[in-house]
This record gives sequence, structure tokens and C-alpha cells, in this order.
Amino acid sequence: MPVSPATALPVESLVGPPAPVRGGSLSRRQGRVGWLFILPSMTGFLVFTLVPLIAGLGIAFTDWNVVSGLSGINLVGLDNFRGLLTDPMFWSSAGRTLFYAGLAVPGTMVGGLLLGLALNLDVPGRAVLRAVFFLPHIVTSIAIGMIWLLLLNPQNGVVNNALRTLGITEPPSWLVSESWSLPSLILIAIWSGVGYCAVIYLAGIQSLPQELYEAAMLDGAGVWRRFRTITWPSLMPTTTFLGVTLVISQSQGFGLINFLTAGGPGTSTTTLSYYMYQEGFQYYRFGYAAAIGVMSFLGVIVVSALLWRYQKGRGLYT
Amino acid sequence: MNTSFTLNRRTLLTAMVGTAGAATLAACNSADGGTDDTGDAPVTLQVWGGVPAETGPDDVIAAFQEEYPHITVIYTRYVNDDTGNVKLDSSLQGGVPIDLFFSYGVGRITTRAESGLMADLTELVSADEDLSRFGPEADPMANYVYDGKVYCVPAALSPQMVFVNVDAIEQAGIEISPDWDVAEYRDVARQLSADGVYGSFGAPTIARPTLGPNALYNEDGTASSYTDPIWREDMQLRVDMQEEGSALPMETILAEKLTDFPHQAFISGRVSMITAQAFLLRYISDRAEFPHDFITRCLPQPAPTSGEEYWNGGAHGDQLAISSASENQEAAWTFLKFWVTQGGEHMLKGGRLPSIIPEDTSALAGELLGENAEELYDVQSFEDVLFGREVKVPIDTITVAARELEDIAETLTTSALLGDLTVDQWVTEITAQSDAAIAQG
Repeated sequence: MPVSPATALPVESLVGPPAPVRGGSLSRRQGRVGWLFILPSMTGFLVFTLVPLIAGLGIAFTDWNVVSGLSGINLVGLDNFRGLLTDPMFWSSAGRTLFYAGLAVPGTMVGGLLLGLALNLDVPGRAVLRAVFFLPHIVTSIAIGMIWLLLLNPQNGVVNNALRTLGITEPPSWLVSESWSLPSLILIAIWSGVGYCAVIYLAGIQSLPQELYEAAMLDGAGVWRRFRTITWPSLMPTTTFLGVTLVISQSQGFGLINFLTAGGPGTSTTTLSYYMYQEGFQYYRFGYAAAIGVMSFLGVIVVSALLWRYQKGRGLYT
Repeated sequence: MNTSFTLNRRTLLTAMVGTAGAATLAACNSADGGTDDTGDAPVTLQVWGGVPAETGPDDVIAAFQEEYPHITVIYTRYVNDDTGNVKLDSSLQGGVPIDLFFSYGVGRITTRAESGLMADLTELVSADEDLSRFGPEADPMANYVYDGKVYCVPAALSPQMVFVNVDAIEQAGIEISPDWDVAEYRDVARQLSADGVYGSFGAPTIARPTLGPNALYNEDGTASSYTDPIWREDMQLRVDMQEEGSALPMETILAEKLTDFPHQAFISGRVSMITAQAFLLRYISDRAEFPHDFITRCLPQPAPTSGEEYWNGGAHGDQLAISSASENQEAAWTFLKFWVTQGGEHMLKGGRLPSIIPEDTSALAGELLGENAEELYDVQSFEDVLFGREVKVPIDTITVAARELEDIAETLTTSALLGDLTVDQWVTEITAQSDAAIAQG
């Protein structure tokens, strides 16, 4: 939530004055208690995030294949990365990932923002609508996949039946067409993510100071001008947060692809995450798969940094 | 020749070699600090397999423990998909006590054998009267051999057969000879096709039955075999049958995930013929879950060319191996041998034929087809196809990039059947990609 510097309170005013310190011992005790409090979280982070991250980085420089065990690990230097540079499948998968994330992320955010603005209006059943739109975010990807498989069935699906009723005699084959499969997945990703974005945006919209809007209206600003000069810049931190988290999640999007298309038809939905899965779990080339993971990680870092840089200085409260 | 003398000598020799093998294994165990499981000391074996326990493994284990009460067997089912197999492999590497495990598919077997996860069974298999048919010198070959060694033993024989909806062919007034060929199959499929009903699930294969072992490779295994015109002919037939409406379109197969659930198309009557292995019987026999009222007949896979010999498209399956890290090698071998030689009868109800077909096959079809066989099946046709004629199942001796080649073929074939590649483009692409995969190893 954006906080105005004018209204921000010093931390002491919230938690009270610091306890008297005697020779620093109480401070150390407080420190120990503090560490104890964060220990479970830190342990989880170390064991399930940091160690695998470092291990993954290390494996990227080996030819590990799981079945040969730790004794079968051979250092291969940069061979895996050199291999990626000349691997057409890697580059085509990277291109598909960019296409997928490049449309799914802004699509989800724009949809989420519009929905968030709509849900902020004083309409009857607003609370129910918010819950309904948020629902896809908490439904498992398999359930979502099942629903969309039925909807997008080329012969008997609801979508194509509707299109035929509208006079489109040869509607797309959606998930079973090489040209339509990736756009179909993007649509599904947007559908399932819009509700989440809307709720986050809604929280941001509702925390905006009303005085700004009142002042703008007194100055004669219309709806679009109020949105452009107050709402949008004020929501910049929210947009950045959503942008970064969506880039991370969409570039890793695997569940829906694995269930709905398994990278096909052909290789039309083989994104980097699915290619990494294939190399690792199907061909047991874990070193190569880890190298794909490292490259993907670097890509996400770069995009996230660009997003961060873009928002810096553009927001009303940043 | 005096039969009893020959038998005694063979038995004696087998016993001697078996004892020598067991002594060697026991010595190895002692050297490794493992427990000595000779004699009747209690032993617990951990067995991992991909078949649900209730569809046969539980019964095999019960029969085994009756004969060997001092050996307790615990069966763990792993799902035979990518993640399930990684779980098995990482468990084997991570020191989880697994004494025996099943592998499915040449790619997995090769990786495990070459990585040292499987114990070398060459001497034991070669010396065993019943199992020597799976040894490296056996003729015809019936097992995967790596540098002259075998590391597992097939517990099942999985030939392909054609399941036919008898009601459909009787309504169409069609007579099918069991000695049919691919052209006749296509003709029957055409006649069985009507609005919304397809004669066949897919086209019959030509290339593999013609080429036999190592069908995907050239002679020395340095490149693929896709330059052979038989592959083009094979692909063209698939496209043609789909276009004429005698085979189910790939678009439908993908949209309804019928590659995973092909039985649904057959049992629902949408297709009248389907080529599959015996596992399909599990679904046909389950009338509560898959209600239907037609009789199913079994026919042999059609010959690519009438009158010429051909290979069955099936495989020797359910490869049972002993973990090289097992501390119970002798008990594990006892169990392995029991499963392969005596366990098969208990696996029939799950739609799995034993890898060693007994001489007396009179009861096998009945057990395979279940309780109400006469209501659901043309029983005699199954007896004729499965036990009344020679079924030649190929074994590959070249296994380079086996898994990659499977995936390349599946991906490109799907594209061709969706109309995204012409047959010529398919040939060019599959040759280039397969050759590259083989070169990469």
C-alpha cells in the first residue's frame, strides 16, 4: 500500500520506545528471540529455495543424469551453455516463452485493472462478484485445464458451437492446432489470472486518498484525466509488483501446458519451462536442463529489473 | 536318448551352476558388508513396480510367500510416468532399500543398465533352465543385451492384436480372415465407417512389422532408417486413412486425450477396430465402469504384405531387475525367478500375458478374459491369436537415443496428421532430427 511521506509515522510511535539496554545484554537477547522467530521461515527458505538454487546453478556445469548418482557427476564447464547457444530448440522455446509471457502478462494486468476499476463501482452484489472473479486463482490448474478442454473441443466444444451459430463455419481447432495452441494457452492464462490482478488492483484503488480526486474534480478534471493523472501513477507500485510476479509465474508456466498440450501439437507450446522438463525428466540430461533453468532465471531477472527501472520515478508516491 | 538321464544331468548341472552363482553373490554381499540371506533366515524384499498391486502383484506375492514363508515381500507401486520414474531412479541412487524393480520401455532399461543400477544377471540367467531363453546367447533373442550382458528379465509378453467389434462387422456383413493383410484391413475399415463411426482407431503399421528389430536405425546404428521408403509408405497410409474417414482424426484424438484413453473410443462404439496390447481387456471386461453389449473378437495384426512373414509390433515387457545395491541378492533372485516362471498366471487378470507361455494354454484365455468371458468375447479367437500361432516380437539391440527417437516420431507424426506437415516434409524432418539425436547419443 502506498504511504504518503506526510502521513508516515516513525516506527517508535507504533511499537513504543525501546526497552532500556543494560550493557547490551538485553539487545542480544532480543536479537536471539528475533532470530528464533524467523528461524522456521529462514530454514524453509534455505532448504527449499537457496540450496536448490545454488545446486541448480552448480548442476548446470555438469553432465549429471540422476541415475549415475553423485559419483557420476562430471564437470563439463560451459559445455551446456555452449550447447544452448547452438540449440535451435532452445531458441524457439525462448521465443515462445517471450510470446506467451509477453501477451499473457500485459493481458492479465490490463484485464485485472479494468475489472478492479469495475469492481470498485458501487454495484449490487459487488462482494459476490469479487469472490467469483477471484475463484479461478484458487482452482488447481488441472481443474482449469479440464474445463477448457471441454470448452475448446474443436468438434463439440461450447466455444466452437457458439462460433458456428454465429456463422463461422470453420472455427479454430484451438488447443489441437499448431497455430492456435499457444494463443489458446495465453487466453486461458489471462482468464485464470485476471481475478487475482483485479483484487490486488482493487486494494490499491481503495487505498488512494479521496482528497486528490475531490480536488481534481473541483479543477474540472474528467474521468479519463483523473485516471491518467491520479489513479494510474498512484497504482505504479501495485503495477510493478504484479508485473514482476506475473513475469516470474508466466515464464515458469508449466502445469497448464503439461496437462493441456504437453508441449504440442508438434512443438507449438514447448516453452522454456517445458523444454527444461523434457530435457531433465524425460531424457535425464539434468545438467543441460539446469543450464536452461539458469538462462531462464537470468531472463526473468533482466525483465524484472527493466520493469523496476521503468516504474522508478513514474509513480505518484515513488 | 534316455530322457530321464538327460533331465537328471541337466538338473544337476543347473543346480551346480546355480549354487556357484549363489555362492558368488553371497561372497559379494559379505565383502560389501551386506547381510547373508542364505538359508531360511528371515528376509524382507522391497519390490517397486508400475502395476497396481490389486491387479496381480498382490496375488503373485501371496503365492510366493506361501512357498517361501521366510521371505517377506513388500510391493510399492510407482506411477510409470516421467516423474514416477525419476522418483524410482533417485530412490535407487539415494539409498532407499529397493531390492527389485520393474522397468518399462527400452529407454529406461538402457539408462538403468548402463548406469549400474541393475545387477548383472548374465550368469544366473544363462545357467537357469527356465530363464536361459532370456540370456545373451538365446536364439531368437528375447531380452535386451548390453555388451554381452543381461540385467533384467521380461515378466510379460505384450504382443499387439486387433480388437474387433463383432456386432459392427456382422451388421456390415463382413467376413475377416485371420490371415489378412494391411490392404484388407483398410478395406474393412472403410466398410465399417459411417457417419460418426470410424472403422479403425488408427492405421495399421507397415514399417515396424516389416523391418523388425532395430527398425528405427540403419544397419550399424549410426543413423536412422527413415530414408527407407517403407516409412514414407507407412505415413502415407496413416494420412490417407484419416482423410478418407476410415481412421479417427488426430484432431479428435488430441482433443479428447484418446492417446491416454484409447479404450473409450472402442468401448463406446465410435471405432470398430483398434490395435492394442492385452491391457485393453481390463477395460472391456469391466462392464460396470464401461458398459457395452457387443462381443469383442481378436484378430492378428495384419501382414504388411500378404503371405510374407512379419514381426509383431508388441514387446517383451515388465522387465524385472535386481538392484545392484540390494543386500538380499539371493532372495531377490529367488523372487525374480518365481515371478517370471510362476507368477504369470496371477497377472493374467490384469491383462498381462506371462513372458513364458506354458505348454498347456487351455486355461490361459479364460483367465485372461475374466469371469463372463463368453458374454463379452469371442474366446476362441483369443486362443487362436495368442496361443495358436507364432508371435514374433522384436528385440532391439541398438538403443542409442531411444527415448528421443520415440518423441521425435510422435511429435512429427502428430504434425503430419494435423495437416501441418506434408508426408515429404515429414520424411525430411524426421530423418534430420532422428539422425541428429543419434549423433548426439
